[in-house]
Formats: sequence, structure tokens, C-alpha cells
Amino acid sequence: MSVARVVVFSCLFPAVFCWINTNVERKIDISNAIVRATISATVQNDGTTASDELEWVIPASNMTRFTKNSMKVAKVEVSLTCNEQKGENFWCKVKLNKAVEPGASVTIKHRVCSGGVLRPLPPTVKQSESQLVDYLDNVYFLSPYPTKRQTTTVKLATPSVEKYTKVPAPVTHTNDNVVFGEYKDVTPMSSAPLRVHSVNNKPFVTARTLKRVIEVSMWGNLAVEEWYDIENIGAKLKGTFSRLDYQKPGARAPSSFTDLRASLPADADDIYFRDDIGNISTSRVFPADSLTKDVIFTQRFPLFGGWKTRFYFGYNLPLDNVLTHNGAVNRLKVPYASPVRDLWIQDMTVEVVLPEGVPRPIVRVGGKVTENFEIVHRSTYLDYSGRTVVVMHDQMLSTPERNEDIEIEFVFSSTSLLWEPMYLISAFMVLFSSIIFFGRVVS
Amino acid sequence: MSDREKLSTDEEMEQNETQERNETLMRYVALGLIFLIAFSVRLFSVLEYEAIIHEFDPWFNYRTTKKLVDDGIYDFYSWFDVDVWYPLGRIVGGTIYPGLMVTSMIFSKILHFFNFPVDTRIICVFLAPVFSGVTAMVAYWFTAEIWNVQAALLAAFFMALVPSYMSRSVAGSYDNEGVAIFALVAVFATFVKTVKTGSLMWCCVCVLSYYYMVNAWGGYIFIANLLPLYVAVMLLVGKYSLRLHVAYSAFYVLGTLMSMQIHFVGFQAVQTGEHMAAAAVFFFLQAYGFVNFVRQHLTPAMFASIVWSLVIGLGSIAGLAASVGVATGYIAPWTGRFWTLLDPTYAKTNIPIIASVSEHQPTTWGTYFFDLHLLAYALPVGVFFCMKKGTDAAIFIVVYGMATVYFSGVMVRLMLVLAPAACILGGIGLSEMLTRFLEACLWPAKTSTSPGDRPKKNRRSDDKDASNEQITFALRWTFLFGLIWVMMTYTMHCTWAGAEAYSSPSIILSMRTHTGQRIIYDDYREAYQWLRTNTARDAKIMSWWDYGYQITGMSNRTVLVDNNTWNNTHIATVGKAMASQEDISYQIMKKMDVEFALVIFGGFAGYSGDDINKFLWMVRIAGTLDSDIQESDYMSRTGNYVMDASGGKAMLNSLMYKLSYYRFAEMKMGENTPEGYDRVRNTEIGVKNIKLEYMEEAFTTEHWILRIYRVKPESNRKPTPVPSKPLVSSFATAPK
Repeated sequence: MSVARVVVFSCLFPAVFCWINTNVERKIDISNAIVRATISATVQNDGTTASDELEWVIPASNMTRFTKNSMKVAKVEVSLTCNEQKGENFWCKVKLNKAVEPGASVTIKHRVCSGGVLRPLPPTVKQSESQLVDYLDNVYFLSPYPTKRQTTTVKLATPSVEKYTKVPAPVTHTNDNVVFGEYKDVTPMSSAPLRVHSVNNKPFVTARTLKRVIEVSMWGNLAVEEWYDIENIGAKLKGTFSRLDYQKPGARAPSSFTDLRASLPADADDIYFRDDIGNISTSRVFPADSLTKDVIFTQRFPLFGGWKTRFYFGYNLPLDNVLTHNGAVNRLKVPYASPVRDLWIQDMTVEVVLPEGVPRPIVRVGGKVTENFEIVHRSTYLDYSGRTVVVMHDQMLSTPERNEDIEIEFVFSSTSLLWEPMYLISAFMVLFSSIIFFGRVVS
Repeated sequence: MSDREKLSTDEEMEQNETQERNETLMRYVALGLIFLIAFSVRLFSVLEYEAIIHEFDPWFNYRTTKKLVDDGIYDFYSWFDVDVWYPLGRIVGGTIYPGLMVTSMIFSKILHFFNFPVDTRIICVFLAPVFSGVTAMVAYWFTAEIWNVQAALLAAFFMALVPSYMSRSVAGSYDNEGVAIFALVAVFATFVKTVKTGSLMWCCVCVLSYYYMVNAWGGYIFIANLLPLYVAVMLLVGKYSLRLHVAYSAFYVLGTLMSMQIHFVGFQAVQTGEHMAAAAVFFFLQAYGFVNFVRQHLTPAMFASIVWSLVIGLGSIAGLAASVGVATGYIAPWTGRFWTLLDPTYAKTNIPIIASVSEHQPTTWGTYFFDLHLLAYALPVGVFFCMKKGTDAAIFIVVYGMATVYFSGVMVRLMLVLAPAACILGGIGLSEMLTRFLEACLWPAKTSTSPGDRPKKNRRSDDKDASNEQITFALRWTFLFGLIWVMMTYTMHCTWAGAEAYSSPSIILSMRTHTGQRIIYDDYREAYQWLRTNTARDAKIMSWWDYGYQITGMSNRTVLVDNNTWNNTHIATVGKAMASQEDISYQIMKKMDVEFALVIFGGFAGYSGDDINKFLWMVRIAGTLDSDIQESDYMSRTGNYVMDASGGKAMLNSLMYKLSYYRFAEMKMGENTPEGYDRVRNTEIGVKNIKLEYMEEAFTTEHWILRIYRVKPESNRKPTPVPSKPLVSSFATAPK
């Protein structure tokens, strides 16, 4: 009876066809500074005709914090367009790759990552205290369709949890998981507050700005340099920082961090780590596996909540492994975001410096062609007209999810390589011939 | 002349020409190598550490260079720097010698014009080594003018390596002296050339070099006094010539006009006492020339009477003018630094701030050997040969050498000015000796008296002569090899000095463990980076003035005092804040809007260059402002400067003591030492329970070398004490 009413109710919404969520499993990982959630929803076409479109509701407050928002059906990406905001929520349209017959069902995997969601509570902690964070969400999966069965698992950083929502039952806390549900027959657009207040001493590191400069030298080198404005956005340090307490044997400063760990390609070479006032001599490199090399960048000082620092690092890569070519068409493939792990990047600029004289290239980010870049020209060593620089801006990213490849396809013939040595040869020729001239003729 | 003879002379000429060409080639190759050595021996600091700006003053020079390169010359000249000397600020454009910065800017502009995006820092780091190479070349030319090319090559080689000059010109030591020594040698060389030729063209080159020198370094005053001294000496020894007259007169007039173009010098060039000697000699030279001219046309009696009346008349006019000038303040009295030069004890008794600088201390004998090595001994030899030759140029280098030997004894810093003279004189001395001994060894017949000249002697004495000859032969070779060996040790010593003694950037400390592993103490940059990223942009940092340039340069924050010690009162105020009790210091710091106080503390790391070791200077300088601050109060009863319980009461209560040792007593340094054991003073500290009332610890670096404290905001009004009962009752009953 109630189910029937619910269906009628849901059909009142502008969706042309009606759907039912037969099973929804949400896994929300709050064990890091970045919250990563996977919603896998099995939806059934409850209408009368085949349909490939359904509604997906996302709270507007979450929308602005997403660093990744992707949806897949059977490992194939489907499009999710969110243009329409009604009240507090975005009503997004999911366009499936093929229509679902009435009565048939399909499993949609929605993966979102967001930064700045976990709120430190209390907002300030002492040097020796642990940091607690508060996570707020909806107990139920927000959907315009009725949900038959759903569970939500919240994964914690440590088993230690201060407080969590206990209604509606059942809510169970086992080890480092808090499980909400299973709830049956949930009406559309139901909501009830979910709150988990737990200990999380993971580095709450964010890059306020990140600037990456990737420079291609057709002589066989790829130079990467990355500038970071780093801040610890965890609970702010209360009182003073005492080096004595920090150094004492057995001392704890759990909410601070000094190390950032990055994974560079295994053939990365000449790694340097500096800031505005020179070299930072504390970094360690060790091979992780056959493809990557781990670097630990130890900062000059421990970063407590609210503390900032600024640094840059860079390395060289042999061009062979990142550049393929077919005649004069070259294809450069490099990671998009930062190699630093678990980093929330608020504002990123990527500059790819291509050789001199390259016309506007084709740029793909994560396999999709983008026009969202500008071209500037910059003159460096032995340049005449300036190198072509692809400048891309992006906001709200997190690693490693957004470390998809950028592919840049540009036209550059290998004979153009000879220009620069020619400049040098002619410059020296002019120099020597003028010396000969003055030596022989003038004197 | 027969054909055969002609042929042979042609052959000979050709042979001579080839030999000459070979010699020229050899010389250029040698000079090229000397340039390379001069450059590369200064790179140890980059190899051992990194391409970083060193020490204190270079940080200021680097900061101003960046401003100049980024904002252009007009902004630079009208730059009022609000980040220093808070709240006074400093007109930087008008109070510096901009030569160094402009030189870097020119390099930067040229490189950028050719699209070489070389960072300003890199240009600054490598500027001094490049200029050292150029200085060696100029020294070559100078010595060739005075003596010959053999001596010149040696002098250039010495110049390339001399540790005294290297101390100020290693890569990263971005200081005025780096380019100024080049300018100094160039001025002297061109002046000698002018005196030799009497050419106005060379005089203009000389004036241009002088202009560059005035741009680059306050030490130009040395030139402005040495040249008149030389002229005076020449007149005294009766070597007046028209060439000298032209050279000096043109130099004085043009040089003074040019130097007045520099903002910082301006009218000082004709007003201050330091420049008066040059003016006096100029006028005297004109009078001398005039008198000489008159003498040729008069009888001796008439001449004598005219001279006497002139001397008395002009003398009294000059004396009157000078006294009026001084009395009205038109002619400024000599500055403290200048007085120190004439009376080495002057600063110690009168101006503690000058005396507190280590490079203003008198030079020790060890320093002479360390900084000049072989040249300390070769210099007198050079003087001997020059005196013997007695040409204008030779007298110049002797005067230059003698004057700098005196001045370098007064101030360590002036060793730098002695270095070129020592190199040139040493080059001449050693070259002469080498030439003599080489000739004696390789062509003994030429040099020793030929048998024909010898008086007839009997056979026995001939035998004796032969054995004597053998001994002298052996002696000659020994001496020759000795000289060569000494020159080799010179090279070794200089390389070692460059690598070990003068290459430390002093902001990065490097130590070796007992296993030989190198550890870097990067505490300075740790703290400066913390200040840079974690304080408000307009935060005011109080520290002793030594660190002012570094804080503005590396942390980009406002400081109260810095290494440009122009305001004694301001420095004394900071000294007083450091030397007073916390509550008095708090008042001072609040008045100065101080947010953070920074002290250098070496007791944990065993770093002896810390603030407590400098503290007595702060007390002395503060004493010039406030007579309540007495040095004796900071000493123990027995008059020692100690940190243990017997230390002076004022010392143990001073802010400096508290900030340095705050919570240090809780740190146990080693197994056998008590808690709170200071590893620099090797003592257990006297007060262990240090409480701070008005300040709180903000940051301490890894090895405790820099400690930063936050000045707490003023506390709320203390709660009124709870009124006693009768008061309440009376209050309650009062309104009726």
C-alpha cells in the first residue's frame, strides 16, 4: 500500500519514467583528510517503457567540495549533468549508455571525493593532543526514487570514535567501521542527520595553490617543476609550540606533520627540493616498485594546524618514456595533478612548455579533448619567437584520483631541432671572424 | 753586407719574432688559466653547500638588487623602505652605494635580452668570482706598467688566489668589496698610467674607474686620500713633474665632480673632513706649479720675499676658512670610523657600536700570515726593489703598500685593501729574485764574474774558489727550489683557505660527527621560513641588529634594527629591551609594536656565535642610552661574565637570559652533565625555573639555535578585588 503511494509520489516528479532503487550500498571513507565515497546503486526500471535517463540528487553544499565526481556503469563512464538547482539540492541527469527495459535493472557506481568536508572539532588542539573531526551527512541515500534496501558504511581512521548518530537503528560500530542500516523501504527524498565525531590524525594537508611547469626539450628531456603553497587545515594549534615537548623522548605531536610523500616515475632523476630561500636538505628517495620511486619531502619545520609553508621541487625524466611520435606528430603523455599523495589541491595551474614554433596543440585530459586552455609564448634559452606554452587552470582536485594523464598532441618536425645549434654556431662564427678581422686588418 | 750575413739576420729576426709570438701565446694562455683559477677557486662554497647568498650584508645587497631588477632604477632611487628600522624606515636609494646592484642589473638585463632567463640570485652568487678574475687581469696590467710582464704574471697569479681577497669574493659573498677591489686596482693602474704618460685620455679612464669605485664602495675614501698622499710624497722627494701635475689636477677636479653625482656622497665630497686632504693637496700642487713658474722669471731674492708673503697670506686665509667652515658646520668633522683609522683605540672608548663589529677589530699577526701567506714576506722584498728603482710608478706602489700596511693593522677589514698591494709588491719581489736565481743557476757564466776580470790568484786559492763555487751553486739551486716550493705551498694554502675557512655561508652550519659524517644545521633558514610563512606580513620582529638584513631578506618581515647601523639610539633601545627585566622590556616592545622577539641561542647545539656571547655589547650600547644599565651589574661578584648561579643579578633577570634559557633546564644534554647544561659556556645555568609573564614561546628550531617568542597582547584589566563586607553594606545603604 505504502509502496504504491510512494511510486505515485515519485512519479509526480518531472522524471518521465519511474525507477526504484532496489539496493544501495554507500561506502564513505573518512580515514583521510579527503573524504572518498562510493555509492553503488542498483536501479530498476519501474516504468512502462525502456528508458536511459534518471535523476540523481546531490546536495548543493557537497557539490562545491567535490574534487572528483564520476559515475560508471559496468566500468564504463556514463554522463552526469548537474545544471538544475532546486532548493538545497542539485537535480542531476544521468544518461545511461543504453536504455533499460521495464523491469530490468542496472548497477550505477557513483564515486565522489571531496576536500574540506571534515571539520576539526574542537577547532583548536594543544600540541600533544589528538585531532578530532566531525563528519556530517545524510543517513539515507538521497534519491527521488524509493529505496528498497540500503546500507551506509563509514570507515574511520582509528577505532576511536567520540560520538556517532545512533538513530535510526540499526547502527553498529565495529572496529574502525560504523555501519548505518540496513534500512528497508525508504521513501524518496528522506533525510536524517548522520554525524560521526572521531579521531583523525592524518595530515590535513592542502595546497592552496599549485603551479606545475612541465618543459619539453626535444633533445630528450622532460623537466618538471612544481610549486606548492601548503597549509595544514586541521585543528589549529592551541597555545604555544614547544620544541622541548616536541623533542622529548616519547613525545607526541599527533596532529602535526613534517613529511609529504610523493610517487615519481622510477626514471625520475636530478630531484631537487627547495623554497624561496634555498635548498631544503631533508628529503629521501627510495624505489617503491619497478614503475615508481617514492620521495619523502621533509619540511623545514613541523606543520601544526593553521601553519603554512611554501616550497617547490622538480625532476627530470627521459623524454622517450613520455613522448611518442608518428612523423612530425608528437604525443606527450604526463600526469595531470600532483605526485604528492592524498593532497587536496584548491587551485592548480599547469603549464606545458612545448618547443618553439609549435602550433596550437590538441589537449586531452583523462582521455577527453578539452579546449579549456590558453596558449602563451615564452622565450627561454636560445629562443627567437618563444616557446608555445599550454596553460591550464583547474580547481578542487585531489590526488591520486585526479592523476589521470594529459595527452598533448603537437606538430614538431625533428629538423627544427637544428635551429638552436645553428644560432650558436653563427654567433661564434661572427665572434671569431670579427676577432680575425680586427686582428688582421685593423692592427 | 754580404748576402749570407743578410740571410742570417733575417733568420734571426724571424726566429726572434716566432719566439716573441710564442711568448705572447704563452702569456695569454697563462692569463686565461689565472682567470679560470680565480673563478673556480671561489666555487667551493657552491660545491660544499649550494648557490646561496652568504652572511649578513650580502642579503641586503641581494634584496636591493632584486628590487632594482624587478622595479627599475627610478623606483630604486626613490625607494623608501618601510620594512626596516621600524618605525623610522630608511631611504635606501639615497643611503647606499648602488654600484654592485647596478652591475648585477646590467648583467641580468643583458642575459635576459638574449633570452637567458638566469635568476637574479644566480647572478649575485657568481658576480664576485667573475670580478675576481677580472681583478687579476687588471693587476697584471698594473704590474706590467710598474715593472715588467714577468712580475705582472706572478702578481696576477697571487691576486687570483690571495686569501684576504678571497674572503670577500667567494661565490655567494655578494658584497660591495667584490666589485670594489676591481675598481680600486683599476683606478690605481690607470692613475699610474696617467702619471707615466701625462695623457688626459688615460686620466679620463682613471676618473671613470673612480666613478665606478665611488658607486660601489665607501672605501673610495681610501683612494681619495691615497692619491694626494702619493702626490705629496712625490713633491717631498722632489719628483714633481708636469705629468704628475696634469694627472692629479685633472683627476681631482673630474673625480670630485663625478663622485658628487652619487646620491649618497653628494656634497660630502667637498664638505667633509675626509675629503679635505685631497683638496689641500690639489691647491698646494697648483701653488707649487705656480711658484715654479714664477721662479723661472725672478731673481732668488725677489722670489723669496714673494714666497714668504704668499705662504703667510694664503696660509692664514686657508686656516681662517677651515676654522670658519668647521665652526659653522659647513665642513663636517671626521666620522667615527675615520677617527678609528687614525687612533685605533678611539672606537673602543667612544663608540661601542663600531667597536662591536668583529671586522673593525685590530688585525692580529696570525691574520697577516693566514690572509697573505708568502706575500707577507715577499712584500718587503718588493718594496726594496721598488725603492731601488725609484720610478714614479714604483714610488706609487710603495706608498700604496706602506699606507695599507698601516691601515690593515688598525682594522681587520682593511686587509682587503692591502691585498692588491701585497700581490703586486710580492710579485715584483719574487719575480726579481726568481729571475736572478734562475739566471744564476742556468747561465752561471753570465752572472758570475768572468775569469778574465778576476785578479790573478795562485792555484790554492783557485781550488778554494772552485769549492766555493760548488757551494754557491748548491745554494742557488736550493734557494730556487725553496722559492718554487714556497709558491706551491702558497697555492695549497690559498686553496685550503678558500675551501675551508672562507666558504661557509654562515647561515648553514655544517659539522662533522666523530665518524666523519657531515651534518647540516639549517636552523637559521628553518626559523626564517617559519617567519616568512606563518606570521602576518606586517609583523615586527625584534632581534639584535646582526640579523636584521637576514630577516628582511629571508623572512620578508619588518625589523627594528639592521646591519646598517645608522641610528645609535634605536639600536640602544633594542639593546635595552634585551638587557632589561621582562616588564620594562615589555613596555619598550609595546611602544615599538613588536610582535615577535628573536634570539640566537647556542647552548643546546654548542654554537658559540650566539646572542649571549654578544650580550655585553648590547649592554654597553644600551648604556649609552640609559645610564642605569651598567656593565658591572651583568658580571658576577668576581667580575666574570658567567651564566651560573653566581652570575650578575641584572644578567639573570634580563630578557635575553630568559628568552635564551626558557625551559632549557628541562633538557638533559648528556649522561654526565646536569640538566640545563650550557654547552657553549660549559656551565650549568643559574636560574632554572624561568617563567615568562609577557611573552610566550612561538617557535624554536630543531637545534634550538633560533628561538622566537610572541609578545602577548596587553592583558585585560585585573578584576577588582572582591570588596569587603562593610564596604558592601555601606554601599547598599548609601542611596537613600
